Amino acid sequence: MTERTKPIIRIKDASFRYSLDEESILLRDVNFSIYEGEHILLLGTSGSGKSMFVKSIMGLLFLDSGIYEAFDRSMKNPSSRILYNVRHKIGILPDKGILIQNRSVRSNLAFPLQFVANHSQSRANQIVDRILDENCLLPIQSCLPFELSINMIKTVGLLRALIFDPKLLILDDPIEGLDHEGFLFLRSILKKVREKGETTIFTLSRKPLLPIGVFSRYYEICEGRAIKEVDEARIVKLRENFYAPWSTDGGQLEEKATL
Amino acid sequence: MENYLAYSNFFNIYFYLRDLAQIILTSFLDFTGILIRRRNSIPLLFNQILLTGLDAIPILTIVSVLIGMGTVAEAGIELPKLGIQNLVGPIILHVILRIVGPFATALIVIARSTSALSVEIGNMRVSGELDTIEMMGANLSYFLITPKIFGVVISTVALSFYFALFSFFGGFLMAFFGMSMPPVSLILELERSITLTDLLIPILEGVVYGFIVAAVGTYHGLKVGQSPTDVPQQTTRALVNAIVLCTAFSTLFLVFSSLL
Repeated sequence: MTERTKPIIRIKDASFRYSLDEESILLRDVNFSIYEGEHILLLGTSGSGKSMFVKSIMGLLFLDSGIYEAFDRSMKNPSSRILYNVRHKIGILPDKGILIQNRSVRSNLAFPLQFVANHSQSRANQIVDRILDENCLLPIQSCLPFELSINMIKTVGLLRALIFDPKLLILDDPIEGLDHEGFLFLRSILKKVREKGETTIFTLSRKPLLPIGVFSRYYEICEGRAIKEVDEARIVKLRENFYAPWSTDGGQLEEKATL
Repeated sequence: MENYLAYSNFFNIYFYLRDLAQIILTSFLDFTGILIRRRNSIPLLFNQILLTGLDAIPILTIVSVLIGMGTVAEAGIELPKLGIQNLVGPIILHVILRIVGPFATALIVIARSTSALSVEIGNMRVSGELDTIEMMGANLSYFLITPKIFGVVISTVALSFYFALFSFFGGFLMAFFGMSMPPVSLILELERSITLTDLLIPILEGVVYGFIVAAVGTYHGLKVGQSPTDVPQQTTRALVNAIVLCTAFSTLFLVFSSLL
């Protein structure tokens, strides 16, 4: 396990709600923390509230009670400056990739540079050119998102998330919908990120397919949207249950399918 | 219960107008930010002017020429019967430049742009693009709302004058070919009666109509929830509310502008 330094995300007894309406509470009594340098996996079934949890971390949901601190800043009614600073340090690959539909691949990659970091268009183009070239994406630079496969959408989404070398990278269901080629591409990019060692990776997934050993800690969203820390044995058991319906020798299949 | 509903409706209208005012004021503030620091949003402003202004020119040309012809025909036939044919010029000027021009332009912009804004922003909400943009740390106002609002406002003002110009052209055509009225005398009458107020009023009206159209479209786009069925519902509301608000403003403005 990575030696714990300081928490970059600290959530204690927190409840989050969608609007000012009291009945709109989505997550209750959340206790969760991410320390610098560690990688975390959160497993949860479909509809369990993973994406809501991501939105909570990113400050899109209201903190109703408890404590939430991100990068040593309180996220209780944060000002737009605090939100900007926190979001600037977090790279996010949303569920389904989600690119801006009326912008090309190049323009999607340039978007955070132009509209978050306020770089000039020529500066943004220089950076994007380098990224496209390094990842062999120049042939699809003019494509619109509807022309791309889910593999490519997620790849571009991931590169967009990494454009500022974030302190924290949040991957919401990164392997959902990917084929083998997409798996490999995603793996190569994430490998580079891990080797660089500057980014903490927080992965949320429905399927326990990600490799054991990469992550420092594991969480699971249980019934009632309670988030609890689980040990590696629990993840191994979930993997076995996942493969059970299809395979008698799950081990071999597992090796092929894992990231 | 009825009282409660009446109060509830009153407060809904109040909150609605307050939200629209908030959108407009925020866009004012952010527009200065765009001009000073966030120059990357300026191409988006030009893009919106292109979509709202330039693309509306064919339909606006047809409508304005026809309305100009109709107005001159009506004035040229009816006013001499009342013995006030010398007022043809001022009346055409007043009707087209102050009343019909800006309002007809607003209606065309509503038909084209309110629905477009509402659908575009609503679809971005449904597909999760708005949340993603916010989560990346981008300010939605700089990127999406302010360029659209000011693009619509600038376009509406410009289109109001374009409308007036082509209405006069239609009027001249009607005067020359349909009524044997010498266009030169009509031009001279217009020249004599035009004042600075006649030019300032369409600008003021265009600005207000533009803000109403853009703010309503943006508001209803942002009101879309997670369901795709919200998009047509909010678009319909946007169109109806924009028409009602523009008509209400037009009436109030006509009442008060008669003092000018």
